[in-house]
Amino acid sequence: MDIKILGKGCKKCDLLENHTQKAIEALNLEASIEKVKDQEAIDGFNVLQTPALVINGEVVVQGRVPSTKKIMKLLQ
Amino acid sequence: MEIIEFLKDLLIDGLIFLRNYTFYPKDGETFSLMRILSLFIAFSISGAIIVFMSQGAILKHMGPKANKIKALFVASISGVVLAVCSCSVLPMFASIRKKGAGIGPAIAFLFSGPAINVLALTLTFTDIGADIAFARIIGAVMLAFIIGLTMYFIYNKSETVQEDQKLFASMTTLSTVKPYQKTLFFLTLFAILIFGVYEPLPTLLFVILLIIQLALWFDLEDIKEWGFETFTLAKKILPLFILGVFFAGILSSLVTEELLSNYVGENSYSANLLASVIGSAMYFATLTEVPIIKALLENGMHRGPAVALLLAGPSLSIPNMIIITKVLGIKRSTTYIALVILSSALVGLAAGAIFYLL
Repeated sequence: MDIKILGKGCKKCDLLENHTQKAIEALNLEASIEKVKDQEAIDGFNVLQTPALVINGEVVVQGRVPSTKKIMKLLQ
Repeated sequence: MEIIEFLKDLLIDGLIFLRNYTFYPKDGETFSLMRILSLFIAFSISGAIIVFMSQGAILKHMGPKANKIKALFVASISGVVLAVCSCSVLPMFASIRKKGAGIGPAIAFLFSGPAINVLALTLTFTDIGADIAFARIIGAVMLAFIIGLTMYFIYNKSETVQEDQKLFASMTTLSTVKPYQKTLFFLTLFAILIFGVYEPLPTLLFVILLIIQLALWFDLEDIKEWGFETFTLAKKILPLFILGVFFAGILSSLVTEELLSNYVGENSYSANLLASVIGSAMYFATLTEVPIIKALLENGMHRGPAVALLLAGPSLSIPNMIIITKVLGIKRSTTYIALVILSSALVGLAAGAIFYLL
């Protein structure tokens, strides 16, 4: 599973990473998180706001930090 | 030594203004819990908008394939949902423009966004007054539509933006709350905001209704996220706002009553034009336009030019102009800036005349 977190390093980005990491661990998934910090690379995903969560190339969350449980649902 | 004395006086003036602004909002009114409460509700609504409203649904209407007039209308009022804080208007404008929104809708959003978000409106109502608050909403939406339409007619032919529908599709809400439940939830929140300031009894009723809704339809995760977003927003905005009130105090001690009554004390077109020119150059941090205009009104500015300043002010500033020029190019942005200044002054003049009749 390919998971990316887009964001230039804000508090909310770190929190999103934290929640996503917990969700991965809770589900026992084999996945690693890639952080995308480069603005041009972020633009390539067509997001309007960061932080954003990208699962298998699809933007599923942007501009907010869902709870670990919500992310678990998205990962399943 | 004189300069130090002068600076010390300014500092004291700023602090006194900050104290008065916080604790004595209007003549004869002391520290009001209601005012704090309404600000708290406004922040909560903004947090709820971030968590529960689908921004994608709105952006879809602004895409290159959307109906032009409908897109323009949606864009003129979209600030309520898209921009919970005026600080996010400019980056969003650059982004939607880059992704293919037409010049009309993009401009309409850029202009009305800072004026019609819940926080700015609540504060305008509670701290300046209902007359100017209504003039601000109606003026901002109307002008956004007219300026957007004008920009569309002038520059439509030279539009060569790439179509990119991906942006408008890739937004989902995660919440399991149904649309009709959300609608009722937001209606209840707005009812609390509107009644809360004046009528404690209906407010209590609506609060009970809200609690029932939360218990029946929302899971704990939703509510936690709502609380988190509300808190994050308040943490971002309030420190800047307090600083802004302090600077409003300094400004009001620098700008004398004589100066204000000479230049903007009457509701003439030149006074309104001066107000909108100054407003368009000056930078207002999120929400600080409210204490600044309140200070100017207390020192003798007429309410007409105040409306002009409120319309042109938060949507434009010299740093804003630079970014807008980068996005739109020099010709289009000059047209936009000129349109904002001239039409804001006109609306200020009209509002001032209407206030006089009422």
